[in-house]
Amino acid sequence: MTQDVDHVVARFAAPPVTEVSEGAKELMHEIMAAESPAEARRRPRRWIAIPAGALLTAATVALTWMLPNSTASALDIKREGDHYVIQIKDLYADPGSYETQLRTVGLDVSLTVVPTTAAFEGQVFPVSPDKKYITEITGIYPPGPCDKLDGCAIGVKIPVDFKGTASIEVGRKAEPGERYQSTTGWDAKGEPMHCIPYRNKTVAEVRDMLKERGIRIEEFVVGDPNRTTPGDFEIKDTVPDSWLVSGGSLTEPGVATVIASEIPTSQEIIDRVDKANGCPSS
Amino acid sequence: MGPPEAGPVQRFEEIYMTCYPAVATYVRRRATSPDDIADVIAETFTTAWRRVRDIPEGDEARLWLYGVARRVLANHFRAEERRTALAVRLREETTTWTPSATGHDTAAYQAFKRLSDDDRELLALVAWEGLSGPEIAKVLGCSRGAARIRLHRARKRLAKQLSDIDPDLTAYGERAVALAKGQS
Repeated sequence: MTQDVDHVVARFAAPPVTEVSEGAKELMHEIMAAESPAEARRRPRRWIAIPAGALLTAATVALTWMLPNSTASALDIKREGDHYVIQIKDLYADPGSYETQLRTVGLDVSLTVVPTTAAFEGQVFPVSPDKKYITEITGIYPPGPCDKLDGCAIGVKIPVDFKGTASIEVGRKAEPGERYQSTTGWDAKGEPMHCIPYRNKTVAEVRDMLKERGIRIEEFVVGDPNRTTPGDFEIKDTVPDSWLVSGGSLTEPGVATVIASEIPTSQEIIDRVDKANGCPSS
Repeated sequence: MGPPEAGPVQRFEEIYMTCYPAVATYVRRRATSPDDIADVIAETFTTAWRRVRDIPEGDEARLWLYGVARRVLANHFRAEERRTALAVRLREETTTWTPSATGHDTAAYQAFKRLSDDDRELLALVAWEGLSGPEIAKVLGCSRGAARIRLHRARKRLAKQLSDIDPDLTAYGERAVALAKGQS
């Protein structure tokens, strides 16, 4: 029935526009010549859209980080001894407003909050202008172990006498349908396939394993699983169900890219990766 | 971590060249006159250029542009005297486009026209743009659940309209499905 109705409606469609005509190209150049684009802006979110997840295990301290507050400033900056302790009160604020606030305490530091995969939620990643990792700026971590590859921070700590320039990226939980700006292998600590023996299982088997975890496959990357140097790969919408899986990653909540091949992954590589991930041999 | 920001000019050109046909098609199927089509396309992409840093990556850019075009269309019909100075050449082109679709003289189309704007848009996003429920939610800026429910109701209302005017019209739909599947 619904399909029938859709087909009735489909008949009323004008033919599609299939090319970028000369007039359209001219319009593109006119538009760009007329004005400059604005700085990026973040739309205010309703509170129910605010990510809630592992960070909440840090209870009330985490809550002050998570909850946006449009009326107050985006950051809470406090001096504690020889450090500034910074908590992000509005994860969706314009990065410019973070920077303005950081400048008021004399820090040449910019801060960006990006949606990341679970392993990086609460990651604090400070780099210098020449892209070197800065060790003086660190995350603030709640007591107890962190179940993520690099995450769990509930704030940022910067030495009061920090004189350099830094840009800090902080990972937050992504909303449903939001693409990760930073991701890693799906078997890293904190990811859904961590320590799950999936290597050399068929695409059909892994599809079921993912399904149990609420994950669907978006696309496949096809390449030699035993190659140790970067090389060619191909992206495909589908591959035969009998192919073997050698890895994968999540691109947004519940959506995965799967690395598959006709060739099995060598036991040597499997052992090495298990060890690196801190998992028992599979 | 994230990729460095591509220059706004390069990004806009990429989005424009990729999404123009889809956006132009979307507008063509909804605007009433050739001038309107050119104006709405121009205003949609002017907004996109202004906010190029807010446009999401990948195919979501197209959904984002549909959302902008939808709002431009809604505003445009409230201010029809406004004509953009842009798109002079595009306007010449759109006047040569063949007038819109087939089937507009049918009772089924009249039934479709009698639906609310919102219902028509939901059904059109499925049947004309081929969007899924979650994609529609993105264009309309509502939750996936809301999109699914609203779409379900819109389909039901059109089905009711169709069976009211002629019980055979729903059968037409079945024949269309059969034709589409090559079973004619």
